[in-house]
Amino acid sequence: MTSIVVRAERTSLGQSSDLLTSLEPALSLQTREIARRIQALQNQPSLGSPSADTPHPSTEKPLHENLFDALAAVKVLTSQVAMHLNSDWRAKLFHQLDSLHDPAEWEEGDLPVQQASFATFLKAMLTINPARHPGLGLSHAGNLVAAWTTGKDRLTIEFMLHDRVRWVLSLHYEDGLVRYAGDAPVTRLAEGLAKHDPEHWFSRAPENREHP
Amino acid sequence: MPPKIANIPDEDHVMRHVPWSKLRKDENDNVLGFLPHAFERRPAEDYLSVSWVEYYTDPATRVRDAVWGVRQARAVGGKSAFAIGNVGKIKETCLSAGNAKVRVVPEPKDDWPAHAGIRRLPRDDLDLLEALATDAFTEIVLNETIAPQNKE
Repeated sequence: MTSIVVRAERTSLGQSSDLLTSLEPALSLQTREIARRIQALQNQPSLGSPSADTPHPSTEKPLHENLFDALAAVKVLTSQVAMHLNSDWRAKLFHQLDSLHDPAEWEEGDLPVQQASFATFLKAMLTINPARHPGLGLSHAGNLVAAWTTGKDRLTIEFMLHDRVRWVLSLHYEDGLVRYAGDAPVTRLAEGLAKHDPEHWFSRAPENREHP
Repeated sequence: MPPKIANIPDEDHVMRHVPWSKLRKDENDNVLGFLPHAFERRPAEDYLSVSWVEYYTDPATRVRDAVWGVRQARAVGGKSAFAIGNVGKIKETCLSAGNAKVRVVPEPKDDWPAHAGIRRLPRDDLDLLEALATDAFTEIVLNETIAPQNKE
């Protein structure tokens, strides 16, 4: 087995914003619009700010109330950018979130989805705008996890607090498995995935999902 | 019952309960496998909790018995699953992907005698956790496919 780990260099959000500004003349209208939406999300203190994060579940409330509260919070967050999301996908996303927070399936000790993680997820989705949407999961800490699977190949992205993402992808070639991992601000996610043929994960057309 | 031992033999297997939130799914919630996060220790955990499959002596029923053992000890969601991996492969994977020399040891509990732990597993190495999910824990058993125990 071959395993290659590539870790993206850490950059501050300020640097990313500067980069977007400096590149603006070269960006298409659509890309500029996406950048504007992300900037709007980042500028809203209720989105992704640590102080506005989902509080840890109250031990006084029943489990189903804690889960309901966390779900309600991220659905409200979604409603703030609903005009930018396909309505079918929004319905599917809500179904996935409901399913993840089903009290009958809940793992004792886990945290429900954190608002700051969900805000990072929304920013990522607006940036990469995948035609093929991910399966979703949750870390113990309540970070949303998105998974794309193409045959045996896997891309997994964890959406962290403070607008950071980390990802790992496994690619199977005739001469063995190659694995890449990265860690970057969400504004750098598309750049980080660009060298790994994003269509392999995000396209709905099977012919586009062949290995590069 | 197997004799008391310090390390579970490399040729044996361990099984990890994976809740619904840590199963790898497609956008329609079809189960495809495990997320790397299925093998992540919580900060307060000293080891990754698993079941020793060969604790149960009958090869024909030991997976079912191991599932029943977990169900008796903890809540198991209907849509959850179990990941089974070979002990030697788990050690090899941790060494090659994370440079971690793990130990797989029995950690019996009163209500869960087959309970075991993977010790020295780095907590936050996503690359290693992905390797465990793809290379080491290669078998999936859906909870819904295992019949309830009669006394349940």
